[in-house]
Amino acid sequence: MKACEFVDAGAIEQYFYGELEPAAGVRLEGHVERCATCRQHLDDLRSIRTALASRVRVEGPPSGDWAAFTRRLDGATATPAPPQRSRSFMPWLAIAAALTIVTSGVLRTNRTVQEPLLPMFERLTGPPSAAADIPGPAGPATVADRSLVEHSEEHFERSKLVVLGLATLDPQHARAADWQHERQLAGSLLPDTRLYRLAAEQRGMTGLARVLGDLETVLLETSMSEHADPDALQRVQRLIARRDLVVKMNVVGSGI
Amino acid sequence: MRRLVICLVGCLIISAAAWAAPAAESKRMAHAKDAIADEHWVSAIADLKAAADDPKETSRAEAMFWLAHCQNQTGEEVAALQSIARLQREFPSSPWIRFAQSLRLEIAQKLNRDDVLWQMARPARPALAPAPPAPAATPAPVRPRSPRPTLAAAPLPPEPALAIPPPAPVAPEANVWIMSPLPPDTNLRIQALGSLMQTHPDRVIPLLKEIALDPSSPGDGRRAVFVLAQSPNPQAQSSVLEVAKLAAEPVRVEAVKELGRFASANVSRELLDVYHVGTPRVKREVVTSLGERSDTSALLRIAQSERDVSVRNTAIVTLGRAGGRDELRALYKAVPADSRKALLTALFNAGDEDELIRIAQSDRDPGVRTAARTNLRLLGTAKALAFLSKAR
Repeated sequence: MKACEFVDAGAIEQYFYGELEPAAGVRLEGHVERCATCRQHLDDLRSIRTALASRVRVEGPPSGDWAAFTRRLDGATATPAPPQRSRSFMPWLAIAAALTIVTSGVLRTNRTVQEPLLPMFERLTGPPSAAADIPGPAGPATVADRSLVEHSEEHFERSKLVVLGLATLDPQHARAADWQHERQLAGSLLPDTRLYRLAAEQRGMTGLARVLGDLETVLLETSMSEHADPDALQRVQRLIARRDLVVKMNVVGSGI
Repeated sequence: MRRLVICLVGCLIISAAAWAAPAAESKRMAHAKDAIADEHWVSAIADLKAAADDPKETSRAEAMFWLAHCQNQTGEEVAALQSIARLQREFPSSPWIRFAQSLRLEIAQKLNRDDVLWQMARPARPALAPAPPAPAATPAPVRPRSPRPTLAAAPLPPEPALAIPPPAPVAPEANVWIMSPLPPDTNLRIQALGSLMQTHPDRVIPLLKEIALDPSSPGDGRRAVFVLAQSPNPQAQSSVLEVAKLAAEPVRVEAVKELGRFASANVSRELLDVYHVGTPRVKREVVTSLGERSDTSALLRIAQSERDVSVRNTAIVTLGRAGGRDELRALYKAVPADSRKALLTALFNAGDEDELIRIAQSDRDPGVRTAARTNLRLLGTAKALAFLSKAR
């Protein structure tokens, strides 16, 4: 596909997120009608958003006993052995994606059974204090805490475009140009990530700070990698997998 | 002979291609990065030190940055500062310098080195803001885990208010705190100002407000608003209000979101102040914030008086989400034709089956009656379904 200056300049992303001035938005719409590259790019963004927005409804066990689910989750999120270079990343990704959807569905639809879920959350996000970082809907610790959590949730949502984009690329077939877009996006997300991490650290919200720190490492490694080759991509994918980043972002982003 | 020439040309082409292609990352760097992924800092440090010392390593600047990162993770702040200083000295134009500066600011904050933070926080051009203060006479309490690095020089003297002095010529290892003479980076300034907010709010807030009001970079403005809104200081909060009225549109939108989260009793009034001077996009954000605060009376006023149909309809729909049934019923008679559909949507959002039934029975416009019946069908309550089956 041919490159387009609107894509390179990030105008499509700005348009997608409603950040373009109205007049510029109208001009871009006219351009998108004529430009297959931009149209494809916009469609990709919409597809990803749709995929991310869909949540599978998962009913909790009637007994309220989450032990079996937690055991399965532990098994699946345990740090995998270092993958062989020639092995595809896709099976791990499939597990992570399935877990992400299931976890997020469970958390969203079973707010009333938070007590059994709490240990799982602690395992995902760090020490016990981490769970207390995320104020529940009933009682945020402070207005600033709530604001920070909301900003972080929105930021995780934006960052998933990059993280899932990277995780789904096939290192054996991806060329440097294929993940150039993710690298650019990663660079644009870095300043906010750092700002929110520092704010979380200042407020003693260690669990949230830790997830943001993991995201920052991934974004930094992605955007600054001097070697955009399959090995570099695989290393970023391993980083995402080993830090359980997708699952953690979903758990924190689900707002428990 | 011809074969020999072809072979030679082939070899030359292959050699040239290999020369032109970026060198693959060394196994040592790859191993170090895997160790970073696993948070095996000590193992990573060993590999990164070796990479940084190896003149043949193609990613030495990167190795030095990650070395500083790992050293900071293990609490070796002095070593981290030395690695940053070395990176700056040996690769002054590397893109890793900027991230290293950010790391240095983090360490400065941990060590309560406000003088270092002010070095980065002061404006890059003459400004109306007051000069940064001299370092406190009495040192701030140092947190237990953070010993002051022995290599650090004495705090820098206060700078003249409007001048940006060139970096002093110092011996390579003499001062690990000297910043690289890079072009000004507003992100680093915001980071430094955020670190200074608690200790020097009176001086920090005007500088953040200045960044937020600068129309040239909405991204920086947005981040400055975030830092302002994180502070409970009333001056910071009134700055957010000012930004919501005066800044570039994307920054105003962000400031309105922050205003809506404040706990003050005056927030609704302040939001309405912003509304009166806002663009349609800012007004819609005000409406959303009022909806999140369930301020149905303010939403009703906007729905009654707003001329822009998109803003008015947003207010009406938001009123429904906020549960303003009485307000919606009051609106029904007065609402212009181009807002009727929004009103029906709002009644649906509010779950007001009685009003929808009344409209389905009595509105003069058959289109409106049909739309009301559709909403009742979607609502699907027992009463709505009973009405629909009777009306067949």
